[in-house]
Amino acid sequence: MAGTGSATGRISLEGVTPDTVWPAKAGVRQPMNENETRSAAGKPRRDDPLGANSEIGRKLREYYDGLMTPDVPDRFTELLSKLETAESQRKKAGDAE
Amino acid sequence: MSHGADFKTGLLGAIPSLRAFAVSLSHNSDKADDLVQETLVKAWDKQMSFQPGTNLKAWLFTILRNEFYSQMRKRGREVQDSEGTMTARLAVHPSQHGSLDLKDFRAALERLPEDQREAVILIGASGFSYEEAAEICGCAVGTIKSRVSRARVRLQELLSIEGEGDYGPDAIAAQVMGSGAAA
Repeated sequence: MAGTGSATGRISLEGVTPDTVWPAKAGVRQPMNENETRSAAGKPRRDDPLGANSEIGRKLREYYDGLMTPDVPDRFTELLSKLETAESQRKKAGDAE
Repeated sequence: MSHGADFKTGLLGAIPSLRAFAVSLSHNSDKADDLVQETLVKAWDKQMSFQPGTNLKAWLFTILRNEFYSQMRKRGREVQDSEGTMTARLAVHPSQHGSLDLKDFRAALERLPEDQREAVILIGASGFSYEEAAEICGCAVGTIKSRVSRARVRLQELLSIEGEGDYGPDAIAAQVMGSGAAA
């Protein structure tokens, strides 16, 4: 993975055309949502400077994925339950008036 | 009723992303979790102002980011200078070959000016569009693009990455940015 395209110290030129000027000129389509941006991981995108062809883009995702732990600490689930309870009690108190 | 339950589920689902973003801003996991806690409380209090069907994650990131900067201001800590003058002096020891060590990368990332780091993380890692990132940071789309571009050039310099900046979009973008195209 780390070696892809960088073995020679060069990124792949595949998909690079003269209008790959970045930042994109007006009128060049920008990614509109997460799925679209994510799909860049597979294919080179002309308007994605941090996409699959970029060593920095890859490292950035590696770094960030390392920060994403799927489990939610108890303090947060407890906090949300408390907030929910407090709110329903406020509502009850409001109804009683 | 079910709106409240959906909202809570949404908050729970966003917690891993919020924690990652908070760590990337504060570089400290304890501070980051305090930041997430504060974000959840604020979000809960103003849940009526959230429009169901819009991007909850972006809305929460906005709250977390505002909270982070207001805490920084309260503590009287200066946000790193956006020109990154310190950054230039604190070069990261480059890895010998093409593949970067993640530790080097993290160190380089931490040396970026705050505004560039958050832009590059929102776009390159959190999966937001330029439009969403601009909304989260309360600035123009062009500003986000410019920050991402400068961040990328800076990271390349710090990490001495060869190849990426030698030709194509990067060289051109660097010239465009160098001539003061955008703030």
